[in-house]
Amino acid sequence: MKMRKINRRRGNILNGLLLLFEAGLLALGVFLVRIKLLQNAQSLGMALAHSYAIEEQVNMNTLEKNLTLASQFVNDIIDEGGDPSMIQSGLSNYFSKLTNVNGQGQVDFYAVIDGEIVAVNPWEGDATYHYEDTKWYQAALEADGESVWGDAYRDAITGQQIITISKSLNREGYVLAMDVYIQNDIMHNTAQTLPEDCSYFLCDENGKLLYSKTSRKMDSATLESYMEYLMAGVADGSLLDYDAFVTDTDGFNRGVYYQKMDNGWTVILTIPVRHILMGDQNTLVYILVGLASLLFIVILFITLIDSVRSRSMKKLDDTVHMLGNSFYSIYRVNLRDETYEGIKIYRDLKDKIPAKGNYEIFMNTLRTLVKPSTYRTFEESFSLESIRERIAQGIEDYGGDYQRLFGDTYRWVNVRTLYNREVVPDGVILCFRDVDEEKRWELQNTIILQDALDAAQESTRAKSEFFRGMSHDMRTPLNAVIGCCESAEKSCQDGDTEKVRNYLRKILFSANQLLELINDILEMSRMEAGKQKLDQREMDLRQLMTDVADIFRDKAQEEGKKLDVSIDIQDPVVWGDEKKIIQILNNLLSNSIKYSNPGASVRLDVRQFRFQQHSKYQIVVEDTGIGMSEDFLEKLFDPYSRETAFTSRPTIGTGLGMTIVKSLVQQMNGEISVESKLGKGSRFTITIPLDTAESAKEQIPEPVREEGRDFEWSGRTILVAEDNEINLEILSEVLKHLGVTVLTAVNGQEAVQVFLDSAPFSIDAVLMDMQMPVMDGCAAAQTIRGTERADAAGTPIIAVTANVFAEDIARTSQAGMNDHISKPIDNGVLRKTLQKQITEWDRKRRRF
Amino acid sequence: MDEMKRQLLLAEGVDVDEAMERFMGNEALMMKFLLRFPQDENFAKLKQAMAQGDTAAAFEAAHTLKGVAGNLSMKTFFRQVSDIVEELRSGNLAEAEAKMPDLETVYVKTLDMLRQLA
Repeated sequence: MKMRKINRRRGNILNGLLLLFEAGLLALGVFLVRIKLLQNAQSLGMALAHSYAIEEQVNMNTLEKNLTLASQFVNDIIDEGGDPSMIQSGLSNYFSKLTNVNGQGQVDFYAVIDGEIVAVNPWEGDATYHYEDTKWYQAALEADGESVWGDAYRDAITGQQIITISKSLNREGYVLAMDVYIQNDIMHNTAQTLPEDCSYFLCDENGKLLYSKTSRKMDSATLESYMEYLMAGVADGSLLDYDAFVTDTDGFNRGVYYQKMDNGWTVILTIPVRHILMGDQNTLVYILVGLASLLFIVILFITLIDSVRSRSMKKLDDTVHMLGNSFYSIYRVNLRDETYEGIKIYRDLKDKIPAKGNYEIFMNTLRTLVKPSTYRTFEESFSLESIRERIAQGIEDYGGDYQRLFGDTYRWVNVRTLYNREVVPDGVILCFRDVDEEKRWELQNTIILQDALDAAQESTRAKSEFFRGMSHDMRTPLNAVIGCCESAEKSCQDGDTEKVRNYLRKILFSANQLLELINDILEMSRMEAGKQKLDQREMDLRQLMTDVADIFRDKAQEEGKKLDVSIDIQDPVVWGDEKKIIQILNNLLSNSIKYSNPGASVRLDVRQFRFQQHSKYQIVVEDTGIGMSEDFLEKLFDPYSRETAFTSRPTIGTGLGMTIVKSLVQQMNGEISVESKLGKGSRFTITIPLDTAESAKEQIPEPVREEGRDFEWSGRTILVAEDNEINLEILSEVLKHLGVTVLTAVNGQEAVQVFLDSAPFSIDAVLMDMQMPVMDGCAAAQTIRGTERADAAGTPIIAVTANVFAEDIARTSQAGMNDHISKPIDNGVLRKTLQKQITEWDRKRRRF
Repeated sequence: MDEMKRQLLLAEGVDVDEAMERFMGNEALMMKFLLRFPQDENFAKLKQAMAQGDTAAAFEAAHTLKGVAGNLSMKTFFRQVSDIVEELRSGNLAEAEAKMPDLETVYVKTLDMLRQLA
């Protein structure tokens, strides 16, 4: 799992890097292409400039040759003695032929012959023209037959740029000159073929513009400063780099390419950068750029989608993993191939079954783990057939609990088959979860519920049986009374007083029996209502035993049975409830005599066990009577039970006797046990602690017990604050058993809140654990005492603490608590303390 | 109460009579609470706090554990955990730690016994 996480993270990083790399590559590509384009444009531009320069040079040479040819022609005419008019016509002839070949308006010829101007195209003012002062004339004479190029100048009449080439002739002072109209396009043929937005400039050695070919409109001043700017760049060489640009007057970057000619002139070519890089109609570039961008966007999109998806995949994966954690084993079962695949195999099976394999082998391996008693059902429920059947029925989630062997103990596990047609159409997921704790808990609760139900049913059944038996028991003496009354009346009529007296005795006997019966029932209901109290006083136990035994001895003798009494006590005078002890003895002795046949013997043994100042007295009543069955022994002390198998003859008594005895013994904090065998007899042993008269005198009477006499628990509300769940529930159970309504809090703060949320005076007492999280008991008690409520100061707060050191106790009283009880809880102390505090509080709050 | 159950409980130092008295003679109720004991987290908390050397946390856990054991009348366990509580109260973490193995032995045995009863 961890590896997968790392891999996924790595994948994300990789995607990002890839994306960056692609973007870089694209940028680099564009960059490289740009450089290449610029470099190509540079070399191409330079080459172009070079070829233009050559063309210009060739043009210049041709012009010079034309002049040389014309001068030879004029020299020939002069040598043959031709006059100026012949020279004029000869030159005109030559000029017209030249114009025919080269085109119009390119050049013009004129000469100085014998101090006169002879021109092909004569112009006004020739006569007054001082040729001697002109540069072209002087320079030609100086050059002595060589062609001389003058500087460009603007013609006064046409406004055109003109360069004059001059050459001296064979006669002294004769010079031939040729005006070149440098701006004529014909002279710069190749420049005409340049693309529209490219510009072409030709400058002389001084940087003066001779010719320009540009589509851009500029006035002469702008053009001039632009040229200066260009020439400065040319001069310092800063425009030589391939990526060097100038910014033109329209603000566009232009590449500049140039070439110096032999005569010092410069040819300059400028091309807009955008033209170099894109070209105007280069759709291919557009398409490529478009495609590249599209590709980039697509990759970016895919990467984003991938990242989002992998994030949600991760969430899903984590969720599934967490869900999977609650199962100790998960398998996928393929119904078509009849195989299984272990997604998660419990460690004890890892060596026994392969990760994938035949389902039958898998089931056979499970046989060793499933509790044998449930394996058959397990096998049936999870066979491939059953699984298929369930799928056919549309049952998608199926399972149940069974006990599986882990090591050498069985634990409850839950097995399920999960099916989903959309996800896995021909398979199911088989998963196993440990549910031992909850199952045991559930079973435990079921047992408690079952016990309660059984007890309720048993009690109902016993009650109805009791009433059935009771009506019979009551009818018998009543019938006797009625029968005897009738007979007595008859005897009265007969005047037989002896018989009447006899009947009256019988009536009395039956009536007494009936009274005894009713007394028992009353006693029983009194006890059930919990109203019976101990009435302790000083008494002589030995005397009491002897008296009771005497009563029964007569009865035993009457029925042919024997009663032996043995009393072995050192302190006969004790502090106890005389009536109750008599009641116990009466019941036990009358039972022993009642349920034994003539000739049987009954023994009463009384002994004393001294233990420090407390004494325990043991009373044993043993008989060789009819005894009791084991089944009956179990129910002996349950109210309303009667042993029907006791004897064949109808029994006298209610069946309440033993219940009453047990209750009385318990009230005196004593114990009762019984051993009995059917047909052999029974032995009842009662042990009661009784204070001897001397030690009883030493004791200070307990006021709590006195106060507790009439204490009413039901209707009381007690707040219990305790952080430990088990302790909290134990305390609650004990209090609920008393009939108290219990409010709970798991820390001091909650206790304060519960107190404040309750109606004033509705809480009778607070049991406060000392050590609690959030807010401890002392702080909670202080907080409660500090609130404004009318009952805040008086409500009893009792500390429950395991610390019984003096300082701890001091802390509880400082915090305003009334009392303390120690942990573990002693039910008696708990009751006494609560009774004492609540009684006091009852007295105080009457005043409010 | 069946004798076997009683003997099992007594063997691990559970004062059955006292517990029965606390649970008002209701055996099912007593068993319910006894079986809740393994779910109480304070023993684990105590061990962890000891391992981390956190005396305050250890004291708190031991103290609560003492209360629970007392209420369930687990006398042997109660006695041993009380010793540890007192050591921790005095801040003697080392002494308390030395007493842990014995406590754990009783704890494990008690849990085994309760599992048998469940």
